[in-house]
Amino acid sequence: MIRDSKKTPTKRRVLGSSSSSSTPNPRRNIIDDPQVEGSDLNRLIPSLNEMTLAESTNSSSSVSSLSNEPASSIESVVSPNGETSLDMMCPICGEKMVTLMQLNRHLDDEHSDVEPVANEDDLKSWFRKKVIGKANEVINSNINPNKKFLKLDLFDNNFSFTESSSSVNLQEAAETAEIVPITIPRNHWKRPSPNEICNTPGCSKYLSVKNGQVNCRKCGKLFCNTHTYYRVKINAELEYDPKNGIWSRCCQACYLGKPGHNDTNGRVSDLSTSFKRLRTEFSGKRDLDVLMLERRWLRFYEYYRNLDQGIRASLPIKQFERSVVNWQSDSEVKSCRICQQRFSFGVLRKHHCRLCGLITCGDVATGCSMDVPLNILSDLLSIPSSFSVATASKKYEKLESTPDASLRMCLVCKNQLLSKRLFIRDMQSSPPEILSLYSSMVIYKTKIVKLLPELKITLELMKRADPATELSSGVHDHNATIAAFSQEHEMLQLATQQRLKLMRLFTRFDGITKRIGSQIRVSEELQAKGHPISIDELKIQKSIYQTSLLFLQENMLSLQSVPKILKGQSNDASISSSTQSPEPAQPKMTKREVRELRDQMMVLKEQRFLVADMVENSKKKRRFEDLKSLEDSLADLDKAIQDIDDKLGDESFT
Amino acid sequence: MDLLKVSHGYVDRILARSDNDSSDIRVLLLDQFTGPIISLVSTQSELLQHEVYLIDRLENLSRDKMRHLKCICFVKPTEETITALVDELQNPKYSGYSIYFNNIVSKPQLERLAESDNMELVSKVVEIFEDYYVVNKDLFSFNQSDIFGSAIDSWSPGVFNKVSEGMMSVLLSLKAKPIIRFERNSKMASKLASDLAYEISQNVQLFEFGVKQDTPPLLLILDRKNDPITPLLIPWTFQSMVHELIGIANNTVDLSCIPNAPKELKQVVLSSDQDTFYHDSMYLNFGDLSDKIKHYVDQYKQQTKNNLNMDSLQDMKKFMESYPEFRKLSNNVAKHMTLASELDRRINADRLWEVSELEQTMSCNENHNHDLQELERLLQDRPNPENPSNPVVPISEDAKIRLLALYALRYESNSNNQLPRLLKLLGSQGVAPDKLTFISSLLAYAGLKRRIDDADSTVFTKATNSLIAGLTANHETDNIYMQHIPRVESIVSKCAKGKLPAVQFPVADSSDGQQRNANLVNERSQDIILFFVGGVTYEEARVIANLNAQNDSVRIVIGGTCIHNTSSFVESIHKAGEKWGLGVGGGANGAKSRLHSRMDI
Repeated sequence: MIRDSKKTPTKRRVLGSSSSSSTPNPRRNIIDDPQVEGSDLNRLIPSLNEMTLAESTNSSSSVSSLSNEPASSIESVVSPNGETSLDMMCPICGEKMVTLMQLNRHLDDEHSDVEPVANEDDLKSWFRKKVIGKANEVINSNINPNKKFLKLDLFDNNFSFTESSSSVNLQEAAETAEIVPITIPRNHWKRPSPNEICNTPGCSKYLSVKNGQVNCRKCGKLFCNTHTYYRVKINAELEYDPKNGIWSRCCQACYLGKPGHNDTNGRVSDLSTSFKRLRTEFSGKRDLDVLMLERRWLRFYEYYRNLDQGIRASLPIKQFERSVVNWQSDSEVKSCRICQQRFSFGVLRKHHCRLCGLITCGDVATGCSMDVPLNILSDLLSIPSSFSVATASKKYEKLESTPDASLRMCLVCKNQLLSKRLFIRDMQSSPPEILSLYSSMVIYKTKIVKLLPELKITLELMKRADPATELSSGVHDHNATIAAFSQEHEMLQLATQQRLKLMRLFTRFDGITKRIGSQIRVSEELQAKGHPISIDELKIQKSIYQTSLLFLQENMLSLQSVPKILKGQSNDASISSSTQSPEPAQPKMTKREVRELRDQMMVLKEQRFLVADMVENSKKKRRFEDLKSLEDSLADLDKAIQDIDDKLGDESFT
Repeated sequence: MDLLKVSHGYVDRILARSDNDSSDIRVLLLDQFTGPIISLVSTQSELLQHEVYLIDRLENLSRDKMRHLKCICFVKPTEETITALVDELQNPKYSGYSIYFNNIVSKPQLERLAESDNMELVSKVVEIFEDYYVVNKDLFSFNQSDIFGSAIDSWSPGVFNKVSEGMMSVLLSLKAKPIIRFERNSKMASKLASDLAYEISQNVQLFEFGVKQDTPPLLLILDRKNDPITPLLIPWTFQSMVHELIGIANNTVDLSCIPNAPKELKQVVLSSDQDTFYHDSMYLNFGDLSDKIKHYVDQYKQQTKNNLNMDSLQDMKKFMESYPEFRKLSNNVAKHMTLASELDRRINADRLWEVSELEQTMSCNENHNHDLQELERLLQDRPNPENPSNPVVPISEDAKIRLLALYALRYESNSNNQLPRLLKLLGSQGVAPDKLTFISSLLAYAGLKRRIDDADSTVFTKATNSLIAGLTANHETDNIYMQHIPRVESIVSKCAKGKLPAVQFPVADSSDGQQRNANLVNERSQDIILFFVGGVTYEEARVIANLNAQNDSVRIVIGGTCIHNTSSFVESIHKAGEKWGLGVGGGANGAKSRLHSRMDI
């Protein structure tokens, strides 16, 4: 089928280009049209019959009516308007069209998606789609047959008949019939002006028959063919409407601007609330268990306290233990319930947990049950409120003096009773040093990050003020110069202040960094000696050290470029001051000069330090290609430092 | 439909702090699955910036107690992981936990966690969906190379679950509730499709994304066996070649096997995300790549020159400021130089130009006599008749087997098929008979009868100027080494036109909405997710990336159970062949049984 329709292009190409030529003959062309299509159709009819239109009783009649209909309607539109103007109308909705191309396209776009119910209409729309659309496609593809990148019209609307069964088609038709057909308004369409350019940013094609001249159905602007290969569903209000909208041709911006189109946030589902609800369910039950264990423990506590105070207990300890909780009978247990080891006489003995009464082993290796001294226990468990604090502490001391008072409990009870309290106690202990160091580091860091741009702004302002002062000094307006000078001076002061502040912050930051560095060395030494250290803590120290070094490197550098500007500024200042009150040049250096040289010296030394650091680094990492240039620069720096040192002579601060 | 952006969003989400959180050192715990996922999309420095100063494995039991630190867990919800988490919560090492799962957590799993959190340390439990490895912005993989079960066209059960779960996370992360279609002749594809359809219908709530799309995205599940040609050909673009000749695993290339490689380049990372040079050159063919690298090196030289003549202090300062940048550049130049020169060395050592030329002509043109002649010449290591003076280095055994495999696939139905004789020839050269069984396994896996009967999208497609309807494709028609076009391109163009035949690519049944789907079969797809059961290749990824770059009306993401190069493909089929047992389910056709009898000799 595709091959067949490709035989028609020569005729259609004449048709396409004729509409742009100066003396078109629309009538002839259009009458020509259906003939071509009709002949095409005759060839297609048999296959059509087989596939879709089983109900169609008389195919020939429909063909004849079909080949007449579009031709006559277009004819009637054309004839009253005369030959020269190309005004014509869509035979279906009565839209006015300017060019034949536009009409063709309009037919494709507007009247192909709606499947009419009636058989004849079905055939007609199919005919339009299949033949006109195909011809269109051929025209388009023939515009530039030799181009390497070829684009085919996305809107060629040839419906695939091969697969869809007739029942589906009918159903589809029924569905579309239920929904009131939407017509997309087109009063927002922009009229083409001569020399109109495609509205896509970056595309500067003139809109013509060759490049196409298409209104985006959504925004109404005009675009070339290539930039309207997009389809969105919109409704009559021109809103995006994936549900009820109809497919409409649109521009790139409207396509890419679809809601949700650029949504790159993947699906996230937060289960925290349902998790917490589950957790409260469980924790309610668990809290009861813990409470029960605490009660039992308390009875032991009282028993021992009474014992300690010399009050005779009502029961001997063996019986009292069993009265707190029923002991599991020895006979029914063959192996430890925690470690699953089998009990054997003399090797693995049975022990009863005094809190839950169940039997576990007493293996020290597995720790299934153990004797927990009472004083440790009462230390861990806050004494319940029924005891007054004073007596409790008194009892507590006394209990401590009875070392044999201990309680055997199983691992399960121990965890249940104590793990939460142990954890909380751990949390309250003082944090390792690295944490406090880190938090002060963060404070300095935020201050630096805040202050740095401020300094930059001041410097920027000073730079901008620079040409202004020169100008005014050129005019020799004394007052203005002074005013500008004082303003400049103020700014200079401000910048110096800010710089000093920053330097101080940096020094502190650097100090902490160094401290962490020394900590790392200490723990590494300890590790080398075989002392147990927290490896994770070391790792953290190292990565903090690294990041702060990086931070220093990045930000100190920008600070280093500051004194240069400041210096230049002060140079200017000295010149302008010298013009104001000319002084005889002194053989000895002025204080200002000394300060400048010292400044320079400082910068150089800073740099020397950094370069030396890098040299060390490269040596360590064996990056010898960098080493050479670095060492050169180091030598240069040394030389420069020496020079300044010589100049300074006695004034050098070392 | 940008996988990298999606994963960056996820990483940001994991590392983000809630507002009232003070700045603190944090610990990130990963498991064996999520470790590589994070390393593919994030860098150490990014993590450090977010104050994650310690990264460890959840399985690592020797972690120290640091009860002043908060902990972020990003783990896959497997049973082992949940158990490890339960243990962790019962004996907590850190003061608080935010738990992020990279896939759907089942209700019992959540209950177990909630039960164990008796200290109420968990502040967040969040599902994000990244249970797959993002290689490029439009390429993902599950790194499952051994997927076959004991019968032909069946899944290995454990792998199937992983792949199915992974696909669910792909769909969820792309916010896609797709129409699922698959290749009808593949049981593996069909099983995956129906499983996904079922899972989607079971998790309706998760698949409510709020915004409705004009046309639902298409998930098309393809089977490698329908295009066995592409993974047998030597590719000629940068990313593919690195994978073919050196090997890429999770965007990391191991260069330690390369003679005289610089020490710090033992392992290099090739990430289109972090390395702009690689981003610009990953799809270039070898010729263009050489030019580009040359240009890059020139640029570097220029900069070194600038750095060398540092006369003034000013220059020094400038150098100091740009030094970190410079270091980065020099590292990168060294990396790409090493890679390219290694590629070049391998190409010449293995005579890949010659081999590839025959591969391409065999896969694109039907000319039995000529191909046979040329194939015999290469198999027998005879010199090229055109310039016989050239010394002949024998080509590798693997290349010979590959060529023969191509021949076997290409001329399977040809009456003059000389396969048994050629097999014997290789056998007489001392190729182990075990290695030769690959060819029969391949024919059993992807022979003519196993492939989909599809006249107009044959696997033997040549690059032409012919129309790819509805899509723009960029074919290098003049390049004889890149004549063959993977079948996936024509499939994608059919999807974009809404012309994918429903007979060969049926829609997966799900209990609901089947009727709806039937109507949507002929809709033109705007978002397409392609998935290759049996592994995708970088070559196909390149084709897709090209289509994406040139057509913004369609967005395509491609993925596979793993990413194959020729040797990994050969190995996987060879291994699978052993599992299946020779000839099992092969449908005893004459040629094959003859072939077996020959090989028994």
